[in-house]
Amino acid sequence: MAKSQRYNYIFYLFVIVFIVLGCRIFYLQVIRRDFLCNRSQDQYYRLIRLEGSRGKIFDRNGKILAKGLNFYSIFADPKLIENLNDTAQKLAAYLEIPKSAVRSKLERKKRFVWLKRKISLESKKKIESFKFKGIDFIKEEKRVYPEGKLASSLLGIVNIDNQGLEGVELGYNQYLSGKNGFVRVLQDSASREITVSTKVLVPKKGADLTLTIDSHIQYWTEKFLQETVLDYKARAGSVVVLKADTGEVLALANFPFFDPNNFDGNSLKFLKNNAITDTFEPGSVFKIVTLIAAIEEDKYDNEDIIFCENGQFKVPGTTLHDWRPYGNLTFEQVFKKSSNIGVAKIASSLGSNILYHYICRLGFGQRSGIDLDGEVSGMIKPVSKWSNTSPYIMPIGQEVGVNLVQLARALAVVANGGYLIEPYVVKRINAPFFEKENRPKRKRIIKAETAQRAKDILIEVVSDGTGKRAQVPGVVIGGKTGTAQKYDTQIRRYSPDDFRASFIGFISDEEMPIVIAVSIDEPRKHHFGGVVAAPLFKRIAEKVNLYVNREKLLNF
Amino acid sequence: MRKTYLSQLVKSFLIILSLFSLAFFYLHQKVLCFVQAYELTEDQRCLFELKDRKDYLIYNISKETSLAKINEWSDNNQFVLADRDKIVALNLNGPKGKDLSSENRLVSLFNRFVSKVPDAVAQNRQ
Repeated sequence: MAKSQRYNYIFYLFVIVFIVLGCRIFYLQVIRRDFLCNRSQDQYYRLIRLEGSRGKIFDRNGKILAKGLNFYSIFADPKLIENLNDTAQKLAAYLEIPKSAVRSKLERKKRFVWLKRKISLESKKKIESFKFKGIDFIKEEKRVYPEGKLASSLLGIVNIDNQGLEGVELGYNQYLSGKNGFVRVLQDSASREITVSTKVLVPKKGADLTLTIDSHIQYWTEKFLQETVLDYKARAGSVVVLKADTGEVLALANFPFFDPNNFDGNSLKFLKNNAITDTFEPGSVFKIVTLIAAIEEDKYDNEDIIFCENGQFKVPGTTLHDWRPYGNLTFEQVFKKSSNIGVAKIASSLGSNILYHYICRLGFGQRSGIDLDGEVSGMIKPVSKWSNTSPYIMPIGQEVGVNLVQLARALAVVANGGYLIEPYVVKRINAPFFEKENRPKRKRIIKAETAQRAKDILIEVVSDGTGKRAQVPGVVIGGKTGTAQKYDTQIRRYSPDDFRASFIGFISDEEMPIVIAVSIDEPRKHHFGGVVAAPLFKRIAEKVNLYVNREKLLNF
Repeated sequence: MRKTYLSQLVKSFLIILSLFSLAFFYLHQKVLCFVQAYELTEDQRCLFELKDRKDYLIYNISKETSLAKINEWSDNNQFVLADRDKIVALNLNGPKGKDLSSENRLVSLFNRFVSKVPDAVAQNRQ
C-alpha cells in the first residue's frame, strides 16, 4: 500500500472519530443541555428551608409567657452511613434513646429518617465532632414557656411541628404561625455552604399576642387554688377572675395543671380548660338569676315577707329543704340566708316564661363568646320541656348545666351596673404589617337601679349571710355561695358524697369592679361553698385588691 | 528567515503567556471571592450560633427568675415589700452622734417618696 494511502486511511479514521465525538458533544451540550445543567446544579446548589418563627405570647404587662428557641433536629441518610454499629452506639448515648431504636432507623431503606427532633446546641456540637457520614442537622424552632406551669391550661401546647393543639395556641394558631421561606445555597463537594444566593423566599414571622392575663394575679390564683384543692383533697378546681366592666380575663386557673415544657402522655388529662369545658349544676349560686329577675320585674321590695315553710316544702315531684328551717324571711333575707324554699317561691311567682327569659338574658344556655376553643354552652332546657318540678328546682341551680365563665359573666352584670359583657383573653395581635386590638363588647340588659339593688343584697350575703368567710377587711365584697350535689349517672340519683362547692363574688369598685368565680369539684372533709370556696375567694380578692391599689398608687 | 521565525515564536509565546496570565488572574479573583464568601458564611453561622446561645441564656435567666421562683424565694426569706404603712428607718446619725436628718435631703426625699409620711416620723437611731 502506498504511504500516502495509509496516511489517508489514518486521516479518515481520525475524522470519523472526531465526527463521532463531535456528535456526542453536540448531543450532551445542546440536546441534553437543560437536563445536565439541572443535575449539576442539584449537586452544588441546595434549597434550605427557613422556618417562619412562631409569634410570642405576652401577658398584659409585657411578660413573655411563650416564645420560640432554636434547636436542632438530627436526621440520617441511611445509605451513606459507614460503620453502622459504632454510629448507632455513639448516637444512642448522646441522644438518650435506645441503641436498638437508632439502629433500626439507620437500617431503613430510605434516604431520610429523623433520629431525634429538637435537641440542644450542646448535643449537636458533640455529635458534630464525630463527623459521622450521612448524619446532618436542621435548625428548628421549639416552643418554650419561661414561666413554666403558669397559665398552662389557658396557653395550651403545640405539637412537634409547632402547630397549636389546645388553648390560645390552638385558637390563635393562624395568627401565631409563621410562614416558611426558602433560600438557595451554593455548597462545595463536602456539602459545606459557600455562599447564599440572592434568590430567597423571605420567611414570615408569626404575629405576637398580648393577653389580658396579669401574670401576678394568675400566679396567686393558681397558688391559692392548688392549696385549697390539696387541703380538701378535692378532685379539681377552677377560678376565673375578670374585669366586670370590660370582660378582660385577668386570670383563669385550673388545678391540676401541667408543665408545657415537659408535656407527656400523663399530662394529657390535665390539658382540658375545665373553666370553659366543664358543665356542672351550680346549686345556690344560680339564685342570682331569680334575684335579678324579681328586682327587674319590680315584683318585690326588700322588706316583703316570704314564708319559708319551716324548712320543708312539698312541690310537684319532690320536697324542697333548707339547710336550716326558716319561717318568715324578708326578700333580702331569703338570699342572705340562701333559702331554697324562699327562692323557689319567688321564682314560681314570676312564672316559668319570665324565669327562662332571664336565664337566657344572663347568658346561660349559650357560649359566653370567650375567644378560646372548646367552650361548652351549658344545658338549659326550653320551657316546653320543663317538668312540673322544674320551676322549683331550676332557680336553686338544679336541672341546669353551666360553666364557670358563664357564672362569672352573669355576676358581672350586677357588678358593672347592668351590662352583659363578652369575656376575652387576647387583648392585641401584633404582626409586622398588621395590628388588631380586641375591644370590649357589652350591652345593657337590666336597669342600673336593678343592678344596684342586687349588688346591695349580695354585699349583705357576704357581710351578714352565708358568705361571711369571703369578707376582706376594708374592701366591699358581694357574692353568693353554692353547694350542689353531683348527679351520679351510675346510681341514677344525686350522690350523697359528691358535691361541687362554689362561690362567685365581686370586689365593688367604681373604677375597676372585679368578679372572681371559684368552683371546687368533690371536696372532702367539708363540702359547703361558704366553707371551701369562700375562703379561697377571700385570699384571691385580698391579693387582687392590694395589687390593683398598688398599681394605682405607682401610676400616681 | 530564522530571525522572523524566532520573533514569531516569541510573539506567540508572549500572546499565550498574557492570555494565560489574564485567565489565571481572573480565576484567582473568582476563587478569592468564593473563599471570602465561605469565610463570611462561616462568620454568619457563628453569629447565628451566638444569637442562639444568647437566647438560651435569656431563657435560662427568665426561667430562674420566673414568678414561681421569685415568690418561693420571698416566702422562704419572709421578704415583705415596703408599703404605705411601713416606715423606712435609716441610720441618720453620723459617727459623732450628729443628727443629720434635716441636712440629709436625699434621705428625706426618699422617705417621702416611699412612705408618704412627714420627715418627723422617720426614726433616728443612735
